[in-house]
Amino acid sequence: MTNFSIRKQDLITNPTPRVAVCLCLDVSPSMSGEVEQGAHPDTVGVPIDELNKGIIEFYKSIRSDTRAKYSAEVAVVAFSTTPVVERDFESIINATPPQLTLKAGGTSLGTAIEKCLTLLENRKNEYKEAGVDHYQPWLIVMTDGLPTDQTHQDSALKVVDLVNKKKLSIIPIGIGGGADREALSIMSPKFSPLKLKGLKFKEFFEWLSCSISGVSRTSTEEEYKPDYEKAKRLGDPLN
Amino acid sequence: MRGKHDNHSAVEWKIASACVAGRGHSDSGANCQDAYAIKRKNDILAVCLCDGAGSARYSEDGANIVANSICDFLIKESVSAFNGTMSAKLIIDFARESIASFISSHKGSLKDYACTLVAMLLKADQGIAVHIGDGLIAIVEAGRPRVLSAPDNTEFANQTTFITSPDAQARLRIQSFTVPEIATSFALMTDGAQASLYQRKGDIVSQVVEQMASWLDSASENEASVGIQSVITEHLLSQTFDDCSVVILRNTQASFVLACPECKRWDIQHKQTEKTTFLIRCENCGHCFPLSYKIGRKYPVEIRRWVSHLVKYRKMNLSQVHKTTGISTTTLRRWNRSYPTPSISCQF
Repeated sequence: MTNFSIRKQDLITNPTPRVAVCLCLDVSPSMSGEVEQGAHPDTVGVPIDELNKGIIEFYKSIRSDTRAKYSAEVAVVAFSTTPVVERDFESIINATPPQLTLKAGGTSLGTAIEKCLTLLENRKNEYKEAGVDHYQPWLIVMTDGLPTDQTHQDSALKVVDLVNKKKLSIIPIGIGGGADREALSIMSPKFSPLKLKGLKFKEFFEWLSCSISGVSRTSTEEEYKPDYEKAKRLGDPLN
Repeated sequence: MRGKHDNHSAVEWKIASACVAGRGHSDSGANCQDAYAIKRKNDILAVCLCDGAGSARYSEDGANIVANSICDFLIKESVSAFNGTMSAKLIIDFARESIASFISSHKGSLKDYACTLVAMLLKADQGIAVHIGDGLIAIVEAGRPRVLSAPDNTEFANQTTFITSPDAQARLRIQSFTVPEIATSFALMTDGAQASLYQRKGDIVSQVVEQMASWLDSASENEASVGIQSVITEHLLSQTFDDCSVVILRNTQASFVLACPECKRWDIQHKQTEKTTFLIRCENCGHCFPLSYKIGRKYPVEIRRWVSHLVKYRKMNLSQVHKTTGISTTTLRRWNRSYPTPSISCQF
């Protein structure tokens, strides 16, 4: 009678493949919602408060998803004139979401994006050295105003190059009526920037969390496209 | 060791296999998108395992079509395969034509049938490996598994090349090899199974592959296949959302050197504890068991084979063999006439 047993200790335990998600978030004074601070006159509510709530929701939502929980690693970069790394890449399992505050200054979108690209590159190299499988990383950029310098021109070229080589997915989001669609669209070669409806940060981050948990195998021919249908089911946060 | 090496034939290889749908599919209700095919003709054996792309609508069909058609192709073109003139283009074109033929009476376009391919062609002691995309072919030699054809994942875990990809021809790998005498088993697997049976860092294949292969020494192909399915369901599925499939080939004609009954490695120490008993200790997992033989009889044939293995493959000299086995140098010299008779000047 054959013994169909194996030695369990001889099975390989591979680390869960990771997906790096970098949030690049505008915390310049206009995110206060006050017109004197540069916010669009149509803005209702306090954008930065809603953004913070959305981030909390994001962390919670990913943690509750069996697929994404062990895969997702999140970095948060908040910027005005200079970017600040609020969270470097870490597993989301025990992480606490950052509480963002307004930062005085302008809106240097390009400098912030450069910072994010550096973080993403470093993390990818760490994965490679450790032999950890990883998925194509995501860069989410959210801004409500006009960039106050031209740094985004150069950084857009880098982003476009990475996206075209399928090394990065970017989701640029304009918040409110004052967002510069041009500045966002030059860094997104595959689809136009999305616009957040009102201050539906919570719904957006829920959609993002769903998208991340759905990261699965794609062929080298496939393009990333935001799943608008799914977005509609989740409170329709995007235009 | 093995008697006649040219005794390989298609019937010598017993094959067990299982394809199990992943957890990701049970969520969406889709079936397993892995498929395999096995074809034999005279003394030629072809085995193909395909993994349908998760994002391709009809990849389940794609995997079935490609697995079967490539098996047919490899058998038909075995002469050119073994003389090194079979081209990647021909393989890709044949697979795509089979899909196109299916599409003519069904729905979809080529990319809807995307799948990877791991395949082997065996005739006597000659082998061909054909591989596109991820998944793995492992060979087990002297109880130790190693990679024969590695997964091709480009940069990211969720990106690989399929038979329908534009760069398929450039990325298809054809490898010819001689099946070594000490090769006891082969394993083909898709990337879901890889998650528990292969470690990229260090290029390590799990010993579990040989443990499953050894079942075929005493069980039927069907019984062993059920066993593999249980292993996948109980141990492999929880580590991935992907479908998990494994096809194992076992050389039943191999003269096996004594393998550890636990982990199936051949790295063992023998120590003569009594006149008629050896204590066998596995160098890999530490498992110990006694091996006895009758008084007045010759040493067990397993011991003779093992000494032969140490000399031929581990390249041990007389003194090393004596140390490892505890058998007297006189006896060892009698078994292996090529050891020089010691003289004063002889050093070991």
